[in-house]
Amino acid sequence: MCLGVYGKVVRVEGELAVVDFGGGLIKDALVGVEEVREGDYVVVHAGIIVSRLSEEEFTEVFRYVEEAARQLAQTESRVAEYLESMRVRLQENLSGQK
Amino acid sequence: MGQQGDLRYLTKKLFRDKVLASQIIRIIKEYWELLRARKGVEEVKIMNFCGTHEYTTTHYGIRSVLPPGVNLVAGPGCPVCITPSFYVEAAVKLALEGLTLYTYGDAYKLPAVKEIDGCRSLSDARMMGADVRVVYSFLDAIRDAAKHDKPSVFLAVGFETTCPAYASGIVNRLVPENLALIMAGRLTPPAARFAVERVGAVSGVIAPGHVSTITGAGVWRFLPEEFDIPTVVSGFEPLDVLIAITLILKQLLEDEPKLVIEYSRTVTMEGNRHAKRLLAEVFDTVDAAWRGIGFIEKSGYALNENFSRYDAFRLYGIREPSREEWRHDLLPGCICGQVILGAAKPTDCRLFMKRCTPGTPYGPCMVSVEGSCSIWARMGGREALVEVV
Amino acid sequence: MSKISLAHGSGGIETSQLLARLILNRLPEWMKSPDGGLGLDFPDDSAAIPVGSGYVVTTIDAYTVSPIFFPGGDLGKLAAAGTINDILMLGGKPVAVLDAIVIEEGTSMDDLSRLVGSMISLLQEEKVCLVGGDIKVMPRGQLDGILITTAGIGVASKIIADKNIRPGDKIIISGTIGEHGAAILAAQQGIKSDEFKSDVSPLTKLMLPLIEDYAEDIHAARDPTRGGVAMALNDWARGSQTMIVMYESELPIREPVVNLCEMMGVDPLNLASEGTALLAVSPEKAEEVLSRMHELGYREARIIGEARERASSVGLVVLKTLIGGARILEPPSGELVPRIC
Repeated sequence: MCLGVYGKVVRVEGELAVVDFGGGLIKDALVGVEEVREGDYVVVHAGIIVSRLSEEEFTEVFRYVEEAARQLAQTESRVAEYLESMRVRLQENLSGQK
Repeated sequence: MGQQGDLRYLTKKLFRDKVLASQIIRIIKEYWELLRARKGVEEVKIMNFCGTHEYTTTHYGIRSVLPPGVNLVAGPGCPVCITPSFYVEAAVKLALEGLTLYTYGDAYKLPAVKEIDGCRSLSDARMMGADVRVVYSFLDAIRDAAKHDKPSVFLAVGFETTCPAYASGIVNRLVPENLALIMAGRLTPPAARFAVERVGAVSGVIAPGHVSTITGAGVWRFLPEEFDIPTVVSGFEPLDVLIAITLILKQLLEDEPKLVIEYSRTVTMEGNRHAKRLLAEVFDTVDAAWRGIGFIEKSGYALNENFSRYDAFRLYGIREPSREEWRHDLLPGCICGQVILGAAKPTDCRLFMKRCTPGTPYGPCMVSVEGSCSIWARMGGREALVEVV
Repeated sequence: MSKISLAHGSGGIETSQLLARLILNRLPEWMKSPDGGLGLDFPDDSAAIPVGSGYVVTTIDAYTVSPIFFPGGDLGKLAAAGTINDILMLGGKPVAVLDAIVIEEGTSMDDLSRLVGSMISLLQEEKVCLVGGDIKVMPRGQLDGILITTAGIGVASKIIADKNIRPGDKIIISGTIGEHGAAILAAQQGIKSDEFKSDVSPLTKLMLPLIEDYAEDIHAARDPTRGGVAMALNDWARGSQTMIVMYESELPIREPVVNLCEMMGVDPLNLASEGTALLAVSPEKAEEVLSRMHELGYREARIIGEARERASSVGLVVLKTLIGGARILEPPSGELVPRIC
């Protein structure tokens, strides 16, 4: 269930926040989290902000994959190449941002 | 296109990346081979409890890229499919009596078991001239209802993610006097427990990411601790689901079932304290019925005494059936109950794509775009596709 | 209970079923199309009647939209452009249009005048005559606003009938997907944004040169209106006995449209376009046709898929997904409504 869309908070007006869903797609939503500030990235579900997105944690998840590949690399040597290509790919995606 | 450092843009770029996906798929295959070689495993059955995970799975064709022994099955994860027929019947009745009825697009099409004056759903009621309005959110309904003074009712379905909006509207006194709620909200963990207890043989669970933003991932601890099921709270991009599968296979290989948060960019162990406070302030947790399944203990949200003036049932003298009065609420031949529990596939139903199609849904799982049957009908199963890939 | 619902008019499966039940199944074969022509024997944008060494191409459509004025156009412009495009998609050159306008009692005279004004000025720019029509008024409450029906007449020396699509043909789209549907959806949902603008426009400047130079190489042409790209391609796959394979990574969909669709839970491939052409072109000429389209100002045009031979799954449209998986692209079904889950 629960379609969630990522948005960026434009401003907060009491229990409501104006959220930009990308490309000027603006709609307001109820604030369902403790604290939200202008510029925060949030998850909105059916008109309510249910959580914030953490920038630090954003690429953390790929650590798992790297770790998995590294582990496999010890038993199956051809997996080493996955690891390398993954590292390159992550770098490409991230640097595309800067 | 994307702006600098925009997390929305980065999500799409990173978590839908084809090359990364192909690497993760190769890791999944490696793990699967190891599981077979070392442990003699023949099938891994991974269950999700979220229609949006099922959507991601079918939308991106994830089943078509997995090894044949790794099966993804959908558990009770669609708040529309599991809404008992009784609530729909009550809503249709009120709509036909002249009230303005608000709800979401998916609940609008949900058919009841019994016809009320020839109407089986709110969309039928609208066809008969009732004032039924489809909204994107509770907030939109609040605003619309405030513009007129007609007595109005919101058919409030949803899980932990959706229900804080009702609580927030009420606590913040945004709800106009003419708007009441048919409260049909449900809690996911009790249903997950029910499903794994009854269905058994679940090798791993992909736990719902957005429900967990509210409840906290901690509510899923019982799965590894009591049932030895590897459990990964996952996000909704294709790579999130693929990574979750990797993590489950890894745990199976290491015989170390535990709870992992893959969706760490927005899910914590403790969850959203503010929303949990709102839910606790407005609702009591009660035993509640699930369509095609029956009563599950402590699995429903009901407006508590302080807010009973928002309760449409109380306002219009409608009494909810008790556990004793509740009857199996599926139409003859419909196996949605088993589909919802992950015990049967949509294609196991003899009505699938014959009597029951997305345009003329017969069972609840065909109604919601998120229902397993609707998803299978629109996106197809695995067989036809493997050749193309 | 068997009654007409909005789903019957959404342009998806239900519309096809209603059409079959109401009309197609009741007609003997000879009535569906004159000898050597094209009519109800095959679902296409227009019909063709052989006359002399060529054809008269004709089409009729009833137009209704809410709101009647939307970013990028209005009901009048929609009615004129839609009919012109239907003629073009069969390989015809539009010559004349007839209109029938049904108005609800109490409708603002200014609104009506604006709508008809934009219909007339579009026809004028296109050098298409308005040769006849009708106006009716319905009592208040018996019609919601205004309904405009337009019939179009054109001429063709050779027609593009969509059943001629062959294995190997490349599928080309002339512009970004779902722009009209997105603009209407945003307007209906009260979304404030300058990003959404209907693509409603006649495709004459694109299609007349292509028909002139590549009539033999274009095996199918369709403007994916109601029901979107998903419906158009499913019609093609079913009608031509090929399987159509689409590449998700190649689909031109603008970021705001993707975002809106994700937010509302609808598929952009089900959203209507009103100024975009979908072509199936022989593989030898596909690149040439594509660069010609770019020269003609349709810079977003690109190859998004191909037709393949496959006896076992005739009639399917398969989408190769971003992550290298595959799924069946079903024709749309039911009303397009926002969902929460």
